[in-house]
Amino acid sequence: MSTLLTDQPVDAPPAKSPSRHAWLDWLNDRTSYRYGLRVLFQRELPDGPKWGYSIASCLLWMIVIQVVTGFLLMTTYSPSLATAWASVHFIERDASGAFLRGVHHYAAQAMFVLFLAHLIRVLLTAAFRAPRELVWVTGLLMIPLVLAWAITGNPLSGSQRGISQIDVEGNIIATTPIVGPLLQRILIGGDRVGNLTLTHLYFLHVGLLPALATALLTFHLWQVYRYGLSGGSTSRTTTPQKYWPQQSVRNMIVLSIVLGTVSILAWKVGAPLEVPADPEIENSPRPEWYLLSLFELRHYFNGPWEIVATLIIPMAVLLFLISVPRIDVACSRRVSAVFRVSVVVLFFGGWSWLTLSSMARDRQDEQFQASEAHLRELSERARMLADRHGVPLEGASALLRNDPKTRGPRLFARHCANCHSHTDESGQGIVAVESSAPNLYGFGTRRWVAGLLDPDKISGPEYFGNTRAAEGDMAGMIHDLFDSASSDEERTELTAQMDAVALALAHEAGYVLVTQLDDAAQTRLNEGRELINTSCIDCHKFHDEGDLGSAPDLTGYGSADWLRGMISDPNGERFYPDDLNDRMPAFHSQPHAASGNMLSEDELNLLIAWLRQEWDEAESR
Amino acid sequence: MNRRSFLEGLSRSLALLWTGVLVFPGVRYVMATIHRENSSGGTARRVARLADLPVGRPMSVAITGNRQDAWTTYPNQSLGQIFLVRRENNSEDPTQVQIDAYSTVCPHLKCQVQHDPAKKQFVCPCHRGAFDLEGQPLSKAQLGHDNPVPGPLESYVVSVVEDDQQELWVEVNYDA
Repeated sequence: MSTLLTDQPVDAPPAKSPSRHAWLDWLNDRTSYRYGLRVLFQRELPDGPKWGYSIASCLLWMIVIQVVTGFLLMTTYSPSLATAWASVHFIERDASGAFLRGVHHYAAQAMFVLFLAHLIRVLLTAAFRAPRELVWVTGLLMIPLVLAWAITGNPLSGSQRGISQIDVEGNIIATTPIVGPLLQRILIGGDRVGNLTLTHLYFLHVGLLPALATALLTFHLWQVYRYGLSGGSTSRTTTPQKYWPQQSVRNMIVLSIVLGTVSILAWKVGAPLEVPADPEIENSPRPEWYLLSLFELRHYFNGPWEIVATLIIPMAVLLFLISVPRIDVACSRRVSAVFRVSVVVLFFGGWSWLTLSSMARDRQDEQFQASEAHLRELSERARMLADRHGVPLEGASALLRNDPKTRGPRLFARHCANCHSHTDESGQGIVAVESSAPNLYGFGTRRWVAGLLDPDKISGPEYFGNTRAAEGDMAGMIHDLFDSASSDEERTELTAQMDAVALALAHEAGYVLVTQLDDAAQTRLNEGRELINTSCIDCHKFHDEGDLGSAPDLTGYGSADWLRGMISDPNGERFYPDDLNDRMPAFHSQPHAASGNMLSEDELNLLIAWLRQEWDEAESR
Repeated sequence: MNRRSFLEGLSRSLALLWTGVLVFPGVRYVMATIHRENSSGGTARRVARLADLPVGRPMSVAITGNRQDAWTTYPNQSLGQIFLVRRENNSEDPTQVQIDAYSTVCPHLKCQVQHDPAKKQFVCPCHRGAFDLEGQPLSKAQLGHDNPVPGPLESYVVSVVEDDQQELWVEVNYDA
């Protein structure tokens, strides 16, 4: 190599067809790029080409790929809590964007695998020995740097998972004595994760950390170049060879395997985009797999000892690795080999054991698995809603917060499910804590009303069974009516009439549209309306007939407007005034007050839309 | 082909392949911006009540709708202004009344065109462009100076519809 370095930088023109390369000759005259290329490709490998060298080469290419794909993602990504998820989803909507983000995602993980393999190879071949100690040290300093690079990258999608991660990681930083809390504040940009957090992480991820990594890598590679690639302590048998093409072809093959895997994953699986961050979403934050070992380590240290897992052990491992060349010098050849293999086994073994224990713990945790599955569903739904309507002004978290299908069950569980169940025909749904009021699944539909008008059901647990109304006038009327039927034909006729009434009421609720009914059904609807006008208006009001005050208004029964009135204040004249109301509270009795209602205006609307099953559904494929 | 040239060829091909795998989607991704439209699609919008439209005199009305800006949907935004010109007072079948709708954007350099009631013209305040009330550019002879506009004002499809309350509305098929 030393002969290469003393070569004259200016090349003689190439022998073949000099005219074709005239401008390249001109370029070479001014830049001597051919000298640069020769330095890179014609340098001699004293121990010949090796597959092991390709790991480092591949690692370097992964960094280049991260920079290239990162730059492309930067053209669209918008770092703030309100826009992060939306802009990432926007990238994902474009097939090329999704592929590039996938490559960025999986290449980052490939980097960790390659980094580990590189570290192990250097340890096993003792490539850290003099005069390459600084290559070793700068390489080790890349570990915290690359980890920080990944940690600052993952939350950028603004997903609940990423935001929880950085929340926890900020708290881990805060456990460092004295400077910890200050660093946490600076990283988070205040006391809570917000817009500034993402801008800070973005700055670190695409600004500061790449600059530091470039500086460190430049030094690392300069040292490698200066002292040549180490063939390791053992190999002295191979003959020296040029880098090109023997080593290059190995590098390219390893790169092809790694990048091939990354590309296929990026194309077929894609990078995940979890549910947008929202404090209301319950989740159990987990770090990415390459950090699970540290996560697991924390299980063994609690309270004041936590710092052992978060700071002392990682620092000790790093410092120990840095001192490996010094220890190695003091060992005999044989002891050194045992020492280096032990370090690899301990380091890699410990890392794998911790990682696998953590994975096994989660795999056995059914509650965790169920919560992850639920989060995946929410993510799918958020993405579907964003596809269909775009992201609202308030940010991506509003997608699900304004979604009846997502919020409805939570509101029902919290406010209604003490007494009411909401279970479908197969019993699936929300079961009341203490079922003491009608099952509201499908309230106001033809099926639900027909059940209410069924003497076998009205006093059962699905309807009035556990309320005062079980013995009330309505239940008594239905029972008397059917009891008075003398024959099966009469009972069948009564059931048919009840169905007509149910149809008429489902029409009031807006579940049945006249235009969608055939002639027979329209006749039945009119029959139902006529029956209500003759038989129900003694107690109920129905449009212009009957009076309010003795039983709920049947005008618009089960419609959004009716439900809004009923839930807001069931004691109102249209519903159950005075002592008619059994136990139902008024959830929105002060319509114009900003606070003081159990359900806000928005919550009320979401609950009603959910009860009426009015929500966007993904098109079935 | 000897072993060396095979290895060289293989190295070069693989390098080229992986460059392509990244460059192709990269270029495609950047190019996707060219076809991106920050709009809300063309839908018919009710812009004015027929009863409010005077005959023969252009009226400028605002078009509101959801504006899609990259990932964000802004609801009920002003998307622009249009001129409505009611041509006749047809009381027998009001849904057949001829109404024209013109863009208020000058086709020259996108300035906002104004209606000049005295001259009965649409005039562009930027470069003295002028149009007649049919949206056609006026000639130099009519105008007394050069008219910089390259073509007529953009026009939209208009229809008159009746709502549930028997109110007549002017509906414009606006896409921008």
